[in-house]
Formats: sequence, C-alpha cells, structure tokens
Amino acid sequence: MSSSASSAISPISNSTANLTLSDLALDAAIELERYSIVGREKFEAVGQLSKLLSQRGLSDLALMPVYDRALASTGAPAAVSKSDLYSRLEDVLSKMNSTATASVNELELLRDFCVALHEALLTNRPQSARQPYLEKRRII
Amino acid sequence: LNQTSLSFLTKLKKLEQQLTITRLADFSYSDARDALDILKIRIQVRGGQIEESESFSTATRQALLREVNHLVSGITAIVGIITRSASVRNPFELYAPFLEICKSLVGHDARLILSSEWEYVPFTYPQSLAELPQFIIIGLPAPESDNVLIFPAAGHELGHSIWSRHALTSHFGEQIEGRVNEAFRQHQTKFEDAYPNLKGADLDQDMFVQNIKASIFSSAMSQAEETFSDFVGLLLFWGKLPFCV
Repeated sequence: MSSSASSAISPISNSTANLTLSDLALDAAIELERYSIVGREKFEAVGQLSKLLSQRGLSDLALMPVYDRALASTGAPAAVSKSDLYSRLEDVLSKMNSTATASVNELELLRDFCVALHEALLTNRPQSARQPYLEKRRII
Repeated sequence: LNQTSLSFLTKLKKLEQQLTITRLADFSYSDARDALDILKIRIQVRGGQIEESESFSTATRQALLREVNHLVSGITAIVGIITRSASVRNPFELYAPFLEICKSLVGHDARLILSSEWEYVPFTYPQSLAELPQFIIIGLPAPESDNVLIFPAAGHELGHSIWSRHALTSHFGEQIEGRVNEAFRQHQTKFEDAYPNLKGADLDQDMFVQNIKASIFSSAMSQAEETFSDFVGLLLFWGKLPFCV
C-alpha cells in the first residue's frame, strides 16, 4: 500500500480524496443498511471504498487522524501506535472484502465504521459557509 | 417520512427546480449546462436515499442528512457561479482560448466554467468537486476588471487542476513525508521542548506525534501545490504580459 500505488486510480488531490472517501463511506453505510433490511445487496460502494482505502488511503499521512477518529467513534479503544492503527484498518478492510460471509454483527460494525469515517471526513472539510468544499485560493 | 427528512427532501426538490430554471439560461458554451445536468443527477440520487432512509439506523440517517446539507450548500454556490457565467459581463472572447489551454495541460476532457464574480480575489474550484471532476470553475473579480494581471492569474488556478489531474499529491507525498520525518528526528529536542508531554515518545509510532506530523504534512503539501500553481501561471503568461499591456 505505498502512496505511489494511488497513481493507478483516478487522479485526486487531498481535498478530492476527502470528498470521494466521504461520499463512498456514506454510500457504503447505506448499502449495509439495505442489506440488513432486505438481505441482499451488491456492495458496490463497499468494494470501491475498500479499493480506494487500500490503494491510497492507509498510507496517506494526512488522513491518519481521520482514520483514528473514525475507529475511536466506533467504540474501539484508541490506537496506541501507528502500527496498531494500520493493523486495525487492515482488519476493517478485510471485513469489507468478505461481506458475503460476514455475520450480522460484523456487518453492523462495518456500517458503524463507514458512518464514523464519513463523519470524520466531513468534519475535516473546510468549514467556509460560502465554499464548503474548498477554501478559497488566494492568488493576488 | 418524518418531518426532518421531509424538510431535507423539500430542500433538494427546490434546488432541483432551480437547476432546471438555470439550465434555460442563454449559455454561450455547453459546459455550464452539462455541469447542471450532472449536479441534478447527484441531487436525485441523494433524494432517493432520503426517501428510503426511514428504515435506516439513526446514525446512518443523520449522516445522510448531514451530507445533504453540505451538498445543498455546495451546489447552491456552484449554481450561482454557473448562472453568472451566462452574464454578458463575462469576457466570452477569452473562454475558448483558455479552454484550449486547459485541454492541452489538463486533458482533452477538461471542461471550463468561467465567470465574473463579485469577489475581491480570483478563485477556483478546480479539483475539489467530486460531482464535477472534469470541470475547472474559475471566478474572476469584477472589481478588479481594470487589472491586466487578473486573467493571467487564472493560469495559477489552472495549476491546481494540473496538480489534481496528474495526482501530484501522491507523487510528492512520499518525499514530503520523508522530509517531515527527517525534520522530527533532527530537531527532537526542540520538539520535546515544545511538547514536554511527548518527551521520549517514539517519533515513528506515537499517535500524538503522528497527528502533529499529519498537520505539518498537510500544510507542506498545500504550500507545494500553491508554489507549483504559481509557476504554472508564470510559465503560461511570462513574456506575454508586455504585449497585453
């Protein structure tokens, strides 16, 4: 999961990455909700989120506090080290890649992580009321 | 639907109606209209999710509503720019040449929305909109319309799109992270003086240290992007300005 691997996916900046991850995290949570209601779902967003996190996310130093907050929000004890954080995120990714065989409880935990990740990324967005997506670029 | 969901759904419906009305404007170029169509689909998708959200858990429903709030706020600002891009006050003669420059530097699928804005500084939404990844949205300040440097300044804005399209964040990420780590190692004593609670902390593993590093990394990355964009603007228009004047 080197950062250079991210060049294989659509080019995105930090800001866009936050948005994309944020949108995907919410869509993944919604897919998991649907599954718990009707018992079947394609898990497209879950797959894409897992792919994006694998390719880019975990090695991105800027996103580390976001992952830390997201994991903490799910009720898990705070990560004690960078290795511990990565190890937990690897567990989450592994669950994302095995949704077909996951238990109801595991899917609910995964949903909670997706919601918490969405929340953490949304909080990370610039808070300008006029331009909520990106702080204004001042050039002159 | 409960009252809250209903009110958010109403917001989306109103915005969608506004997009439909805006689309009827007399746009000189098709990019603005295409952007509105994409945004409309985005609104419809989130609206559909709200309609089915009654059976979702409270946490997911709240996350969805919060997302919709951001979406409405963001799209409203963009629709404002798109609406103003149809105004006859805009420098339409600059649109096509600048779009050509955008396509040459960003990619053949680059789209452009150029608008005269009542902001004191030029601004851009180059790489930030997941909804409109191919669009370069540039606002030029009407109060500075007598300033010959304003249009060349758009070259800087284009630099942000090039940065994004060529994934330069990933390209420089490893390098910048390496320099941040090196600086921490070299100045550990100064760091511990500033953060006495982190005296003796493992600089590579401690989570508090990682959070501080992340903040520094983000600032350094933003600065690198700004400097890169400055040079793009400079290279695009350097030497041509005397002819403009």
